[in-house]
Amino acid sequence: MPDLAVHLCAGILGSKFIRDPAGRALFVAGNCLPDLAQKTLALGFASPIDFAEATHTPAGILCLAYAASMLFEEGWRRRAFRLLALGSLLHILMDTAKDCLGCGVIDWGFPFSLHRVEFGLYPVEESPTLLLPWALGAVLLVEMIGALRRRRPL
Amino acid sequence: MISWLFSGFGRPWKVFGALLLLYIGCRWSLHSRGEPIWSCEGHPEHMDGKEFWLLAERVTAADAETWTLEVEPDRYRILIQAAQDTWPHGVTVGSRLYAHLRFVKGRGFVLEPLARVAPPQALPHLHLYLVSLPALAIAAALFLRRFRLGPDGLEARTDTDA
Repeated sequence: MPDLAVHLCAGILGSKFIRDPAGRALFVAGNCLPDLAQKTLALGFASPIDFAEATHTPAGILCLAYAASMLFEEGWRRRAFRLLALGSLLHILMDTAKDCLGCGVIDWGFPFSLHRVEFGLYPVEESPTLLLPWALGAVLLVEMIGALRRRRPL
Repeated sequence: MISWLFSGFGRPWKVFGALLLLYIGCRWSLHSRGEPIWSCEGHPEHMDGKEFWLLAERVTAADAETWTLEVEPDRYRILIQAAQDTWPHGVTVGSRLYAHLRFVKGRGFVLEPLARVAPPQALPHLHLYLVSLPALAIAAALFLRRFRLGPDGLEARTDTDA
């Protein structure tokens, strides 16, 4: 994984395309969902890596988003499912960009195929130093532009 | 209770969801039976000159000597085998196995264990967790600012600017 801080920044930036603040919060939560599920399985239940990594697959995130949407009141479930799944999709897209020495990261075809895909753009362990400053800078810039626009409507 | 749990999606979602959950559950359990601790396949160019460590995460049975490396012109495969009868050899959960893959003329790629076993870490990827925990708190705060627990589940707050 890149660290969750980078995922959070990406989630905040991605959520800017959603008008509703509650929808934005759902998208950001969805962005954290795959890692939350994986770490709960891996650290909380001592699951093998192979077991926990299914949380980082398209089919896995559909199940996670579906289960998580059940926590919401009935009127919100469809929307919660959609936004949580979209947020999670951004998460695994970012994880696909990792460099895992050529062995692949995300099983995009799971459970029909166990072939892993990686783009090899950054080393796994170095996301806090390589990506986080840029991600934080981008969020800061976008928030500043947003604040300026609110102050001086065009 | 069950009808309440799956309400809000309609019948197709119920059927699709149930079947998908069943299939994923079955496949998940099959997938998690893998014997090797760590295996890696890919193109040799990804590995050339790179130093890396392998984390014996969630592993209680391992032997660093069972590392194997197969290199063909267009692909490599590394396999670290878990073997119950070799346990324990100092590899415990959270241990790091350091290795170096380098290219040797006439021999091709050679996998060299740098140190057989490094001290176990209480928590692997510690620095990632240190950065991630505050981010998790921020994400939770952002979420709880917009949603609260109502009698029928999580509901959107109406007392914040919507």
